[in-house]
Amino acid sequence: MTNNEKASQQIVHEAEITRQHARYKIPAKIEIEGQTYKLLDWSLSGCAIEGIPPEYCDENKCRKAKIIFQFDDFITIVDKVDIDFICKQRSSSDEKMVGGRFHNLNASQIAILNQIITAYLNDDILTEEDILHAVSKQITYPKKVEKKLDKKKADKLLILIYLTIFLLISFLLFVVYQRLFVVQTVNGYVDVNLTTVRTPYPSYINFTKPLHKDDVVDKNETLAVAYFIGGGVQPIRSATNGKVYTINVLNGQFRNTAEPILTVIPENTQPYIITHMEHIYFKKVSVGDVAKVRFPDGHTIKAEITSIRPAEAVDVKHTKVLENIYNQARNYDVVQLKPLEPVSFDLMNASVFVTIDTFLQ
Amino acid sequence: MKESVGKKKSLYFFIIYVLVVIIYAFLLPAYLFDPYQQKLIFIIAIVGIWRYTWFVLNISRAYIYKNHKFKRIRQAEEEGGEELDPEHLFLLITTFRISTSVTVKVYREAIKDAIRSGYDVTIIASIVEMSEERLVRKIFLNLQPPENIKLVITRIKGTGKRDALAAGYRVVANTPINLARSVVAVIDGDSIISEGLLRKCSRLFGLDPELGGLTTDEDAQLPTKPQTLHEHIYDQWYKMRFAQRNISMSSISLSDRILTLTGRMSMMRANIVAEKDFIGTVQLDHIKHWRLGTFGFLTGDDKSSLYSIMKDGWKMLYVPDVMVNTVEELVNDNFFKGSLELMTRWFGNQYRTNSRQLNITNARSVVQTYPWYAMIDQRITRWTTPYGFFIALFGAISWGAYVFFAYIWWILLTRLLMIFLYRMSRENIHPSWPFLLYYNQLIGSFVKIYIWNHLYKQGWTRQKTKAKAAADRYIEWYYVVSSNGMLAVELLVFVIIINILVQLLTFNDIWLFFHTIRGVL
Repeated sequence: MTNNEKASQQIVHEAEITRQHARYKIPAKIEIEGQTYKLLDWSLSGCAIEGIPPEYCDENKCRKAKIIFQFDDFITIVDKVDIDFICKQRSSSDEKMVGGRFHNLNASQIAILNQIITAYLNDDILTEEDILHAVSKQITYPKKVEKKLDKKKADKLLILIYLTIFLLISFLLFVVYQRLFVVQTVNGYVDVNLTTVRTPYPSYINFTKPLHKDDVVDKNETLAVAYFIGGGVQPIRSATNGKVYTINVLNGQFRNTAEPILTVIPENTQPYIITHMEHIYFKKVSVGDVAKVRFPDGHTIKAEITSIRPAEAVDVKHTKVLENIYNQARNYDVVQLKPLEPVSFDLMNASVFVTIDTFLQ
Repeated sequence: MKESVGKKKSLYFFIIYVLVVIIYAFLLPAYLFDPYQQKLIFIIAIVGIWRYTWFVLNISRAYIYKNHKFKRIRQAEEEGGEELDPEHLFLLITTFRISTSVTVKVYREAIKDAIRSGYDVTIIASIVEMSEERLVRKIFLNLQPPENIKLVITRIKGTGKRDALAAGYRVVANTPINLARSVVAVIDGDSIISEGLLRKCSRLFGLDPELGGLTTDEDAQLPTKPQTLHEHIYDQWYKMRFAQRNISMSSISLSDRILTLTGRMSMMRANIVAEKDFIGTVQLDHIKHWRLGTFGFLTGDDKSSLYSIMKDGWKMLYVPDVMVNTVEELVNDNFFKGSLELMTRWFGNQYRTNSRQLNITNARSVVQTYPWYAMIDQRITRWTTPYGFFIALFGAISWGAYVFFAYIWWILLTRLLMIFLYRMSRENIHPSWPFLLYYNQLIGSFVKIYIWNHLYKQGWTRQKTKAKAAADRYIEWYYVVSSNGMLAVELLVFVIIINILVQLLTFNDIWLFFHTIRGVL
């Protein structure tokens, strides 16, 4: 025996379930409904049967079969094999060839058939021990795992995921929009044009009649009399027609020069809004733009910008002594707004939050 | 001679690199960093300290493992007698459409080493094509092995490596020997084992009856000498990756576990692989995902093996003194496309297994604390490098370009230092490695983020075993739509957090947004 021939004997072929359609002419018989037939060839997926009535093909149903293998000194039976039949016309004659298809072979059945094929391929002598070993190893051929999905849960998850995406994208778009187009001002409040009646000289103030908030006063009406501390008297008159807003002194109290006695809201005056805007937003905002004003109680109104001016008037700055006004940057501008809806005088002094959407103007 | 010229060249490049980093540092305008940015640098530094501590910890553990623990193991193995030898050794080699020259090398070296070992060896060639069978037969016959070496050929349909392995494992299970005293080496069709590997590795199983599996150090070579720029990059990239692998595997192995039983070459105790559950898991593994439902694995057979062994609490070992050389065929001529394809496969396999590894009952005690944390870390790493990168990017938008330039300097410095530490793993470090390391970290993170949300995407580079179109079109549609959706959610949340940190967004914006929604509703 040459070295190559020796080495060849060390090479073994293993039959594999995945190549289940490879057919082998290994001697075997099959018993169906008490009748025994010879197998022409067989594989792990089926067999060709000799002498079986072709009528089996017409019935289209599974039957139980026994595959019988006769070895030298023992017989192996693969029992309870589910089988159905297919007929094919042989090309050379009118004779029909009947084939059987195996269904749902279990692990032990596959293991025995596989062992027989492997032994056949390798010219091995098959023993009872080999068959028992094959069965006892319980080698399984797992079935493919199908994709499984709970459709109802999947639908809900999809909705949740895309709602979250919508929310997150909306947030980012909202922020981008805010950064690009929306100007947020600071330090806003409601203001009204007030006329303040002041003390002309250090004096005691005596009202000519009891005054209360919202009392109507006329222009040049004498509201009080000032008794100067050095002697002398001066009537204090209203500078305008209007309503009393605040009374700053009690009857007979002392007040120094220019201290307020009372404030009057002039006739035909409406509250307006003052707010402060960073000067860098000046380029985005114009007079006439409509802004949103939010009041402390949460309600909002619209207001129109009527003026944008420096926080301190230039002429006032010029009057300051030794002031180099050209070195001073204007960080904030004062924005005045006219409410487009009536605002109660009661809201005078109320803090407000003013935002100006420059895109929707 | 050529090698020393190459080393000198590398040295010059490293000197230039170091000089650039020093000059760069002086050019950075330190005075521009305002107090908030200094705070931000602190925030980044906390993340950085955590990451670099993890790196240094791995390096230190790897050093201890290689120089102390494993040395003792090897000494015990060398001093041990025949009682450590396995009763039987199986070499399961899976071959599918690999070039003839590689197949010849792989089988020749495997058979030669099997002969050298003197053990009873069964070489199981799990193949598909008839031509492959003829080739394997020829190699076997040419080497004229002694009678104790047997070759079993199992030809399967080309349905993937999992089927090929399962076929091989069934052969092992069918062999009437004492499997508990036998060892199976699973070798990829493109992995060339080194001389003495089989003896050196298989005897370790005799040393420790609790040892379930092991894997070895690896290095890569391209099928031909690199010619183009892309091939040179591939070559260095693989070398760097294997240097990294050597460190991380050594570090984890200090805890008697490993996180990969590499498909290229790993050894397992035969009685483990002969178990029907093990074969079933390798052949038809699947996961149950909270969003994607149940679906099977195509790739990542090595992760399935690892999981089976890990969950049963077997010890695992990394063998750093034995080398396996793999012939890495280029999956794409373009390095960028090729590396993306490979990283998608590797990280996909990693993440598909990660969740269920962590779900093992008493995972921390079964897997050991350090490997358990390493698995958690695998999840976190996908965000850490992008975190720094995007902080720098959006920080540059918020404060100025110098923030990004400072980041680049930091990357140049830290990656250089890391690569210097890689010398512990490989002596032939290359000046391109710092860049490739960062590429791996950044692009790898993007791939990780993508594949974490697209776990159903699987495919081999050589075997086109893409998932077949499912009968239920809804599932396929749902996979795509929900995965893209989850990816979008993660990225959006990430971008928002980064922008809050660099002050491009504020909590005030969030309040205002919800306030506006409330107003609209």
